[in-house]
Amino acid sequence: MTAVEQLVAPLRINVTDRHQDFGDVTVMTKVPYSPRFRFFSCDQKRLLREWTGWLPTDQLVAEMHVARAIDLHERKNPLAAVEEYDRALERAPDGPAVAEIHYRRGMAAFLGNQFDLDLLRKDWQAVVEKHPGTRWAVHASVIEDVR
Amino acid sequence: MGDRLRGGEMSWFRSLEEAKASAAEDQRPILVILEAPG
Repeated sequence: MTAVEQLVAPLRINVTDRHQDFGDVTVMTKVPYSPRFRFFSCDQKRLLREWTGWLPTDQLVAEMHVARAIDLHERKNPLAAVEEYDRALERAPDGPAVAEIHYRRGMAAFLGNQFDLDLLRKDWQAVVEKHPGTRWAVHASVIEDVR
Repeated sequence: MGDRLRGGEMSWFRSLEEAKASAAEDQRPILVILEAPG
């Protein structure tokens, strides 16, 4: 298993410390509640993911893998993204992000394998069938119309 | 890996500049946690 500290480059800021980088890391957002988690792309040009509130360790590590996957996907490496989604599911198979991970993995696998619809269908149908009522199931339900 | 602070399972960079340099070198995302004391 990859050491957690190798997955991301972490920076922790106490909002009362007048940290020199506070302005840079809070750009375009408010921080009304603590803690606020923000993932930026490896070049810091894009905000990948953010939320408020602590998570159990396994779910936080899974979120790190999801952030890595989104970053890889946006850098035109969808197959590497699929591997990160796999690791996220291994780490937190019952976590709150499972439906989203299947949705995103299906798209990454589709794009990374010459538009293989079977790979897209496999993940998106799983989202529809196993996670009804989620926004991801709504998004994935279009798969029923894809031939 | 820069000058980092140990804390539980994670270790932390002291500044965004250090985190950015490491992230760019290793091509990994930057995680920022903003927290209040208490």
